[in-house]
Amino acid sequence: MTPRWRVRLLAASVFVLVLLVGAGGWLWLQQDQAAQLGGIGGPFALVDPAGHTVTDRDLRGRYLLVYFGYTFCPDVCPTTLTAIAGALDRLGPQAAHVQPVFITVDPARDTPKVVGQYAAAFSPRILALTGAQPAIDKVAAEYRVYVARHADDGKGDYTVDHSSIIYLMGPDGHFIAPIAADEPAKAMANDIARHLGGAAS
Amino acid sequence: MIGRRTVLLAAAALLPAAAAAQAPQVQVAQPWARAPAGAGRSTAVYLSLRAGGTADRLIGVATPVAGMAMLHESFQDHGIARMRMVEGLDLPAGMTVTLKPGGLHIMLTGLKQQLARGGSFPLTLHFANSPPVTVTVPVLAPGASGPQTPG
Ligand SMILES: [Cu+2]
Repeated sequence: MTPRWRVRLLAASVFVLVLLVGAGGWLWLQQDQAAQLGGIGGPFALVDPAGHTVTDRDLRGRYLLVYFGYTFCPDVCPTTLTAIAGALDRLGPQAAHVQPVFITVDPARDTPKVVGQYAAAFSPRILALTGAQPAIDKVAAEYRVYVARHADDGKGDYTVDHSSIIYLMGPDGHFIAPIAADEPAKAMANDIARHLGGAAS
Repeated sequence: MIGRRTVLLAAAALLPAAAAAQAPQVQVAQPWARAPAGAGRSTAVYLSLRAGGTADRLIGVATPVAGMAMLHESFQDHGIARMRMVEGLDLPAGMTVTLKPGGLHIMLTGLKQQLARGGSFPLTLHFANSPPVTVTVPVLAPGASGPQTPG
């Protein structure tokens, strides 16, 4: 092996080593983050319909039903929000411990006023939140929400594919369980009640 | 004389066929739509369709209240709510096909007027074989979950 080849081999080895260390560190970081956040959820600072900032800390002490959607949504979001409203009615006194939170994935169209009017049409109990795009991107990533905007139809109308899962979060802010978003109100109420245990009054 | 009779017979033979072709063979029942929540600019229409003795196919929808009306389907793909356009909907003979929330729907976008709860609007459905059918769609509450929901 010529000295020139030795240098090349060494350079290649160093390159592979850097890649391995980098990948290991990245994996370690991912695991660490996941452990810290309990997998799903995390800190956020969003805006309510009155224009006030609402953070995850402001919502501690109650169970949360976190659902991501958008107000232009013609079929699935109204269906899910109708079921959430119906489920809360069925929960009776237990509903006092549960706060449904609707977070838009389409802040460009969904201003605080728009999300507020939208959620209120289903139930005055639903807290609607929006925010600047980076704040929405952050909370969507924390909840591992998939968002894909479809092409504009030329008139400013577009639909958005999005994760359709309701996240049940505990009073301490930790993720408890996913609740199916395509269930009728009765099944959803049973599903939620099963996790409330100690909260029954 | 013979010629005239032949013509009459031929016309008589054609009559039932013509009448059958004109009679709406697809029955459209229980149409309803949710009032768009808030300042919503889109909504969906749900209804049920029943082809008579012969199979048919829903090939188009139109309404004056929306810039665009199209047959659409919501579906869940690994926990993700997606929608796709449906080119046409087969209506097997004698079977009821129902469009309902979370699945097949007629999506209305670019609404030209506010569809208020308690109001109604016309919707025309076009079929491959049967003549078009126009129905009046009642607008229910944003939180309605079916045609029977009161108010
Ligand atoms: Cu649709």
